[in-house]
Amino acid sequence: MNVSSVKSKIEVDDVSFRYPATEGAGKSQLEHLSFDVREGEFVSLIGGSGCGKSTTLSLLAGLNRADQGQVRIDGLETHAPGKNRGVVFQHYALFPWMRVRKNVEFGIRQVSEANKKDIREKAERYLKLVGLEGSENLYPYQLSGGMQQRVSIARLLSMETEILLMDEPFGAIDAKNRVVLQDLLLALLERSAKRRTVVFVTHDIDEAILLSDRILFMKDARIAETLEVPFEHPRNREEIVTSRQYQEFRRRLFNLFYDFEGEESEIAKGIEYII
Amino acid sequence: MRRALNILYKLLPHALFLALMGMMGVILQRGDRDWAALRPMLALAVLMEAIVLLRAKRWETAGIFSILFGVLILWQAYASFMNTSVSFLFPPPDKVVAVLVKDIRLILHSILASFWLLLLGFALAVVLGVALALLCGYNRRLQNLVVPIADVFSAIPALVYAPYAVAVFPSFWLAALFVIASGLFWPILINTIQSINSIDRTLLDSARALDLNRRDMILRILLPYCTPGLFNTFTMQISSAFMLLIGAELMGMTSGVGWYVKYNSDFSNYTKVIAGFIVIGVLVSLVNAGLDLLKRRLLMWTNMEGRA
Amino acid sequence: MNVSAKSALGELRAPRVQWSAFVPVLLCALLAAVAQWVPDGVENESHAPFIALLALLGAIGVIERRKQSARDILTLVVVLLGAWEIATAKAATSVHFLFPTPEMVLHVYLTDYAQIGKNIATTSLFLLCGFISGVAAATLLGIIVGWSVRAKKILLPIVKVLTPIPPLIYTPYLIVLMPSFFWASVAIIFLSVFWGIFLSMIFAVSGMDQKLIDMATTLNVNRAQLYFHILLPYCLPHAMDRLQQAITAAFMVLFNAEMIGNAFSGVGWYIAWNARFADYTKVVAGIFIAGVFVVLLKSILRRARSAVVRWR
Repeated sequence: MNVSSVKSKIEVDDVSFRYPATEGAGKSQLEHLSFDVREGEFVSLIGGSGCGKSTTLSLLAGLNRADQGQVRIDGLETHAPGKNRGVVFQHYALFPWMRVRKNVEFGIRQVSEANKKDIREKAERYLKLVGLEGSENLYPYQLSGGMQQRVSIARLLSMETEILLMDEPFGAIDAKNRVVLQDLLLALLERSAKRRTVVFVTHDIDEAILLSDRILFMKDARIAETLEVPFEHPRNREEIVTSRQYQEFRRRLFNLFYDFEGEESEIAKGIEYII
Repeated sequence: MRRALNILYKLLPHALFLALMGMMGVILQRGDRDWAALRPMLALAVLMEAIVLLRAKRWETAGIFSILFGVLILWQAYASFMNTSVSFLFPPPDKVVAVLVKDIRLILHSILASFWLLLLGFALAVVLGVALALLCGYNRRLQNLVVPIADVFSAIPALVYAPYAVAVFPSFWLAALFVIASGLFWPILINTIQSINSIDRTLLDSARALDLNRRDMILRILLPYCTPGLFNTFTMQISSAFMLLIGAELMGMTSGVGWYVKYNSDFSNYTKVIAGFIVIGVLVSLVNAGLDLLKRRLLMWTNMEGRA
Repeated sequence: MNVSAKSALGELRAPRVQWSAFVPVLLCALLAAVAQWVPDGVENESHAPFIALLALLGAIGVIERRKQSARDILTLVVVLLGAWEIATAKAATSVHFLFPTPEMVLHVYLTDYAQIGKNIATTSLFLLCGFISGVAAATLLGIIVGWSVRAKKILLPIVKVLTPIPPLIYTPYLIVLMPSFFWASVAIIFLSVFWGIFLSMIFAVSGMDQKLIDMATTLNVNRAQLYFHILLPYCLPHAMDRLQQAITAAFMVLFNAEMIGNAFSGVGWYIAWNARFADYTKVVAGIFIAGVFVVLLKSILRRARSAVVRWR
């Protein structure tokens, strides 16, 4: 994907946020968080549990509003959802009372003025793309977890928003389907005519490396480190995963996750050996 | 702008309180009522105001008491200052409150009578219902026979055969007891059977592995297990239990809160009728609140849904 | 013979007896014979309708002979009928005014069916008006209040207090207050149905999965869409669950109102009126009608529920 180096698409400017007392007994906070995302870039937010990555995403989505600082999209401050962003959550939030097709159509309808027939065609096209042709008339409860998540993704993609926000979308899916969906997402974004900006939350190192252009490592509610992923597009999973570059990059990322000190370095050595 | 609205909101109950006091002052002045008769009402108003002051921290207090004060004011205004031909149907609140205080002994006696009837009916229904449910738990064939019948009978409001029961049983009280017990019996039966059916197989197996005899099994394992379900059923059934109670009393009893309302209704003393409504309302809320508390203490080992 | 499925608690079975599949049918025939040919001890109506009823039960017995539960229920029913018949018609020497014979009750249906029909129609009409208005209002208002945090905070305590009060108690008052019995009964049914559903709608909306709400938020739904496309479909199953309870309550309240009010028609009125005149044959007949009526309505509701809520 070509990345324009002009103005940033998304700017998070010195943002602080804390969940209100009634909601957030165990939830994370953000303190003076800042980062940028350029247009067309695929950025992963990665980090351990509770470091604030989902919270950050919710701010970008407009579900919460920063207590201090600003979230700017296309230069304009935003604190509410909008038609330029689409979201996918970890737990497929399909409306259970709507059939699969209707779920997707509902998303499209919200962001475009097209007529019913066009909306239906588009929905069916994207469902076919994610491999769910034939399941359009089923209710969500009749689908497996992986299939439900695919519907979620179809809904997101069919809305054709400029910005895609994804919060551990493959986290609840079994290993095999995860690979399928990662490849699918990668292929769709690489072949897409328009540049899409993606902010992707995950705790899976390999997933982050495979999919993103840049990885932001979060720790203690701040960005601790930024890494540029050194692989060119279009990416081939086989080639990348077996390359030496990958191993080294991965180790770097791994060490960020688990910083071993003192006595624990024995375990570190042992684990490093396995990697 | 928002702040102004907020302040207005917080001040509203106090303003209404003053309005209410003012209204009563006017009534006093007009000579419609004397000081002694208005005293209970004034006491009530002051009490409410005190609660508002004490619980000012909670946001909703202002709203709730504004509504309550507002209702009182409208009611008092309509009843005292309008001259309608059916004004006897709409006694003003000060009279109602006064009557509550005056009749307090009779009211307490009625409450006790009603409670006694309800408790007995419930106890009867529980004992029979749980016993039969346990039997059904042990014998699938019996269960398949009983459940469809119970489904049918639980749909039929017990009040329907109340006139018949009144004729058959030697006393009104027994007829009322029968109606209440039979009305509560079927839902308790069904719900207990359901909760027995839903016992986790592994729980049963580990109990059986402990080689308990049948009596222990029932008393120490099954009954405690069913208790949350029973509780839930009872809280659900409490409103229909009250309905049955009052319906049964309306049929011709000579004591109890239902009787109190009907008796005064027959004599067209609607002041007391409305006082009776309020008593029943308070009673039911108290019972519900009490049940909630009990539930929380007794059922600490269950999660929110009341299941293990 | 079919084997009983394992019981929930373990193996405590009654001693096995070899029931043939046709036992209930045979019992029906036996009872019919007894009814027809054993002489009545009392003055009784014709046996024909009773035998027709037994024939009907026998037919059901033949059709359902494979299901053991059906057989057992049928057997129980026939045994009870037999006990009733023998106790009141055969073994007794005079009809007790409180305990009519089955033939007398059936006779009532055959002769009085026009009036009974009218009563059923009246009750149904009143019930429908009160019920539908109550349910519709409760659902809509419940969703609106449930969604607004402020409204909920203020109204919920008040509603919790008002809900358990049996509207039964307002019955005499409303009957006097309202211009006609129709309005009184509609009002009473409305009140009895409204609070429960209102409360449960508020809880349903409050308990909605936050993820669904978040998803709807990110999809930029406006107010109308929120109420009608998101909240309402979500809460509908909860409402339908409550419907069955609500209709029982509505029945109870309506019957009671008919019994004590100035009604002149309706199933409840029929029962109370005849009780007042000590015509307990009709009372018993009325009770059976009421029972069948309620059960029928509930099963219709149950079917409606599964039809509407296919997405669970």
